[in-house]
Amino acid sequence: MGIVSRRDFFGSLLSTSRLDIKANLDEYTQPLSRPQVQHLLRRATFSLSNSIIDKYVGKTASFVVDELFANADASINPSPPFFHNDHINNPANLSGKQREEADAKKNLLFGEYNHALGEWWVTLMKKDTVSVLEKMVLFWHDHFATQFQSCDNVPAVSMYRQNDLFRKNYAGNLRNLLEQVTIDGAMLKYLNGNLNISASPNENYARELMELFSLGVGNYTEQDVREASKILTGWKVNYFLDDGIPYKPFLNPIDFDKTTKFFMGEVFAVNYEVNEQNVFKNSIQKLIAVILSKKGDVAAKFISYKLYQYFVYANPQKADASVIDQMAKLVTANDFELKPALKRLLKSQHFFDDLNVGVQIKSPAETVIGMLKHLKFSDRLARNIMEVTGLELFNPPNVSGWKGYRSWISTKTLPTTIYYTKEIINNNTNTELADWALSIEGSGDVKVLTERYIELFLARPVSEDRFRKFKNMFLGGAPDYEWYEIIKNKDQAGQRVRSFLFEIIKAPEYFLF
Amino acid sequence: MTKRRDFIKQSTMGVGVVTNLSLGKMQVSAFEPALANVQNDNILVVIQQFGGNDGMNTITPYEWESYYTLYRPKLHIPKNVVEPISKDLGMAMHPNLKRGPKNGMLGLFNEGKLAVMHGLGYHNPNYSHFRSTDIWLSGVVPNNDIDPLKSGWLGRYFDRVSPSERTESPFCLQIGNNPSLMFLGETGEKSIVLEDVEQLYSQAKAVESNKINIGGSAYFMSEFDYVNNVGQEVNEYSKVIKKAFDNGKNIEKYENQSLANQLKLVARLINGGLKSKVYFVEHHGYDTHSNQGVLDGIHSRLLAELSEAISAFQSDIEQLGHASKVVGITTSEFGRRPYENGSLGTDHGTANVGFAFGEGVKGEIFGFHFAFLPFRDFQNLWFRTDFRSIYFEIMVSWFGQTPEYAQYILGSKFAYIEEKGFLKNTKQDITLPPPPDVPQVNMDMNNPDNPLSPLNITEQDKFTLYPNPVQGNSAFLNMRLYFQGPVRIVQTYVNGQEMGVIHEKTYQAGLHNVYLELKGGPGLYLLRIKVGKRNHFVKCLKM
Repeated sequence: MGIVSRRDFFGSLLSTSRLDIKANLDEYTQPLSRPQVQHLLRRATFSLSNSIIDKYVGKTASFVVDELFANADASINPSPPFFHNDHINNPANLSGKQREEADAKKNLLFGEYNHALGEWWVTLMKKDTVSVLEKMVLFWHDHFATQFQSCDNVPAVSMYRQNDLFRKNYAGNLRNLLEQVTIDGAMLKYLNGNLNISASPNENYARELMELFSLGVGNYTEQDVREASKILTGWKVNYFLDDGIPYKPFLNPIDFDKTTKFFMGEVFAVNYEVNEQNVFKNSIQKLIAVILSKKGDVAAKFISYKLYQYFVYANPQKADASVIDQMAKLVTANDFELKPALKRLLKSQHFFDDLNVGVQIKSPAETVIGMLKHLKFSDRLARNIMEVTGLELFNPPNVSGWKGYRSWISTKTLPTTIYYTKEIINNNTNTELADWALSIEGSGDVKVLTERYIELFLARPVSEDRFRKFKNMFLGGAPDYEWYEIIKNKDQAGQRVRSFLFEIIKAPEYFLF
Repeated sequence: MTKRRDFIKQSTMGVGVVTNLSLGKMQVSAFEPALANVQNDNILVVIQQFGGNDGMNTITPYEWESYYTLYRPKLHIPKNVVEPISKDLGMAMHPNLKRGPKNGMLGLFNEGKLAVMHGLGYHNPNYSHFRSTDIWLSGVVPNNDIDPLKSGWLGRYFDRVSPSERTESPFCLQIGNNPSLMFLGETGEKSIVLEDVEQLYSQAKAVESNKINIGGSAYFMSEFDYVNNVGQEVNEYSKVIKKAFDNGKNIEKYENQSLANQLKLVARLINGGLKSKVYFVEHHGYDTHSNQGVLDGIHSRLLAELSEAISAFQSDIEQLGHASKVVGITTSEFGRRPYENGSLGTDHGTANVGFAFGEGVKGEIFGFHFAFLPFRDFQNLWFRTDFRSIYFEIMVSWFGQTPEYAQYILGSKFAYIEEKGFLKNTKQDITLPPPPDVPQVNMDMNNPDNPLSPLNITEQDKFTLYPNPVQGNSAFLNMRLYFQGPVRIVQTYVNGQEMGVIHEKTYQAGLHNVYLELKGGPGLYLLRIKVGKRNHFVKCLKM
């Protein structure tokens, strides 16, 4: 492909009207080219494989996107992590050896098992190559950010259940998600919902519910926060067998504020028997209903904006606003079911517009899982690498989630990421790397091989010069036809693959997708 | 290898990523932006306390009874263990501020090297961590909650440094993980972020250090250039930083704890000759909504760490011979409310206390205890000094810039704190605006200007019944209480004859909606509302 001078390009931007860009959600109906399939899979999944790309070339976006969602629907019940049913008695109520054992188990449940949970999720991400599922689960994890680690950790079982909630509602109804997250065991602990009592309301969750989870900054008043906290009082979660059913949130009627509250113009009178069912219906469900009815357009826009940032471009420009508006309209038209808007977005001409190809910056999830899929490496160590490069699963930096966009790549994370990616590569022998290369269809031709590797890792095709440079990593100076000889020796071939990989991970667009 | 000035020139021209400085009342000149004066040798260290430090328990109003009985019945720092720093002003330090070499921050105060700055904040305070942190970092107070804050005051400051002046050191060095908004300028990041020097150096060798010219669509090129630039910067800076690290040393002993280790590294790099002008370190954990602790627990541990780190750093800098050119400040996105909450913690507040330390600061207390500021909305305090005054003064008096340049960075000039400033070499400047217009407070309990005086407060309580006339038996009473207290509502006939108590409950200060069931048939009645010792009357017509 040719190289356009920056001046020409900048100039062309100024002279062309933005109307040229497809600023609507009209469907892209042409059969997908190879680069377009890559683009779609890069955005919808965490890792690519050449064979899957092969499968979808020539199909329509509608076909592929429907499959990505159908496959997701079929995968929402993976095997749970090994500890998901672990219960203990409260160590404080025990003594001697029993107490020691319970304490040790408690430390695991509140500590290390959260890492094990991260490892469990990495495995799912790695396996998920033809569905949009785990990408969406990560989206929700970032959106409803909950950290296991604080002065008072959240147990891994609660974090798992929250993750499971996201998986089962990966593209479901926002209303349902908001209702369920409000009484989710991990969220109750993290944002002090379980300390929110009638005698002394705690505003933490009420504020974030509106600021971060549904409406955005500036779309609610302090009075709304105060009244909502009163409406949300009374919910608790326990962790030990002696206190009740562990991990299952419940209502403590004594702590529920029975006065009448006045939220966004609606009266919340407590003229019913105070039990869990009634309170859930008349406080929680009603609260979410009022938010979504009084500020439905704001909420739809808010979530559409985030989904747009996640799937199209993290830095939306003014011209993209109309696409986001249309997504928002679809969201409200479907009463907050998100699947129609999502599918429409991923099938749209706007999504496939060249302007939006290769513009996203990889998070550690894309970088690590993208490499992990193809190579031998411990999922646990992969989780650790993601942590040191800025994305610790189940432990976002704060309640607003990960900052994302360019913050993934800093003077700190860039060298660290390259370093650890090499660790992943070096965990494989030359023979293993050679086997990988040989498994790729067309690998007998070094040009084809180079193209196939580039399409796995780089966001867009490269210039002729750089292509030659990459190809030469396999050849080591030899002419193209000698590749046939080189691959007969697995040790040598593997070494060349290694050199190639070390070189490609330096490319700036290795960090884009 | 590309020189720094080259890649500044080549840095992204904002294709597709235009940042816009015009916010609210800020006027930014589109033509001929001012250039900075030549940079002097002075260094600023910024310690960010993440989460909102509880200033009231850091510097306590130890002679004030309400602190012990009303605001912090469970969370007050006991009078017999605090360290008074001003009898006149009734201020004392939390005992953990003694920790560290030479008696910690208390020692620094006694030596005249610690400034205690009360009542820092801004108009229309924001209670969201992220928004308020961004406001402090950007040095911009937007008109609303939605305007994006896209650059930091130091980022903008370094945007305008003359190209001939740029050194090989990064302008700013941030110890930590995530680039702070404070250093994001219009032309990109002005800081290097690192956790470990050796690690950065060895890993940076594997990064692409050449500029690659790429074609493609506009957004792609913009993001590509961004990543490419980061690689080039890492490569170049890692070498410079390593050199300073190898050259430098520490003399003082530091605790083996995160904040102390960060400041230890800063001292070493300064000693090793790194030419960075601003160093930024992070202290996490101040968001103490629950179980804040008093003498043990989260908050007191953080204060111990803060004191140990700051005092060790200052001592080290003095012994290494750099004390004349290093000043440090603390920043935090807001203080916490005077009233404790029901979970043995405190909620997001407004005005806060900040510190500055170093030989270049005036070792004084600025302002009276912010606890005595009036409440702005029944739960939270007014501020007294705009936090941007601190930035303004730093740019003029410490960095040696013109007031006009500082004005350009912040959007306007700001009065110095208490109109005199916290830095020793700050000169009087009559062209500066007056301090913020905030309600005055009188400390005399019998004076009507004292918001806490019983004479004053409940005069301002307001009660509104709606709907009025009342249909049927029920209505809402909207109460605005300036002061917490027991509320007792008795319904009476117009002749004063009592019909009965229709509501009784203790309320915190603030706005409340109370649901009332009224007695009797249609007619005119009075509601006698007793709040504490005062009575209020509301007429009510039942249809």
